[in-house]
Amino acid sequence: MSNHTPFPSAREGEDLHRRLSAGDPVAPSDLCAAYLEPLFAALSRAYPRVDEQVVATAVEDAIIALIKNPNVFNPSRSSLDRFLFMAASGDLRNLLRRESRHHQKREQIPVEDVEDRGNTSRNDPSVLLEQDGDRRELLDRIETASEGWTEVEKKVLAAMREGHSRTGVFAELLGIAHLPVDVQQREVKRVKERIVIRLKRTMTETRSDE
Amino acid sequence: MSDSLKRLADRVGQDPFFLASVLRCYAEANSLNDEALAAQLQCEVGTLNELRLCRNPDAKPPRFWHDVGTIASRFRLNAERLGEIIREGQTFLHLRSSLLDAPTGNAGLLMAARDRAEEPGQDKEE
Repeated sequence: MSNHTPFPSAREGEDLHRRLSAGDPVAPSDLCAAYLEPLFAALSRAYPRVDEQVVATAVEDAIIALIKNPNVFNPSRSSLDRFLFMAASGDLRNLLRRESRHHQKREQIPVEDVEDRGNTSRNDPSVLLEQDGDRRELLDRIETASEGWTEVEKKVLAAMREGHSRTGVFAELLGIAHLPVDVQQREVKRVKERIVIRLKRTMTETRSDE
Repeated sequence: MSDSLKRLADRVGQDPFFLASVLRCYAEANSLNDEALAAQLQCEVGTLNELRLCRNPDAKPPRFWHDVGTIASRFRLNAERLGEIIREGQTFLHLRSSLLDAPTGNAGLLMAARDRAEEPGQDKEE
């Protein structure tokens, strides 16, 4: 499947949903043609370590469910692509949990191998999914948190995320490279701490909302 | 695109909600492969998967022809021919599910029907 097919526009999504709800017999086919590939690409990006057959099944589950019960989507609350992404993510988690339980039932290790200890959880699809999900969620939160920041602050955050640690890099971004080194260090430290505090605050607020 | 559509069309091949189930029954009953089915529908083989993912038309007459007309118009098919094929497919589908759902006795009927279909000359000889 191609990774570059864009989602239809919000208006096209609403139109497809309206046709589904009205019982248009061609609407299911048009929905599949429009959303299968972009949804698969989006879910594969979000869960890169999950088998693509499992991702495809989750995508199909979400699309079939919407086709059979279009009322589950409320266009006033979100766009169709976002709704389908959330639904497919949920279906993917369910599929992997089921698969994980199946593996656990089948797996019977008569003698514990010390070298292998921990491999089960490392390869457990639900654990991999949780890790992918957590990372994605964290990145989403950081993206959201940095909305409204100045361009310089965003660049400093990007440099932090890229793993830069040298004061000189941040001093360049802040436009203070001409100042004495101790002043640069103080200012860079101050800006970085402010960013960390803001991020922490956003994380806390998001968690308390959940 | 065609791979993902094909995969989904195959998946819903037994789901009576989708036209896929009806076309599948029709093709099986008439021993048609995709090329032959496309020829009967007077469309490209590539169109079949999109067609299969349409909703199965409501079997009740006024609604049936409305749905068939909508599908035919979208894929530029002969509505009358499409309607005949869907009607026949729906009949096979209904018959099959009735026989499979019946608790006893009808398995033999299904087999007899199949035997007769496979040996068309037998009835005349009897």
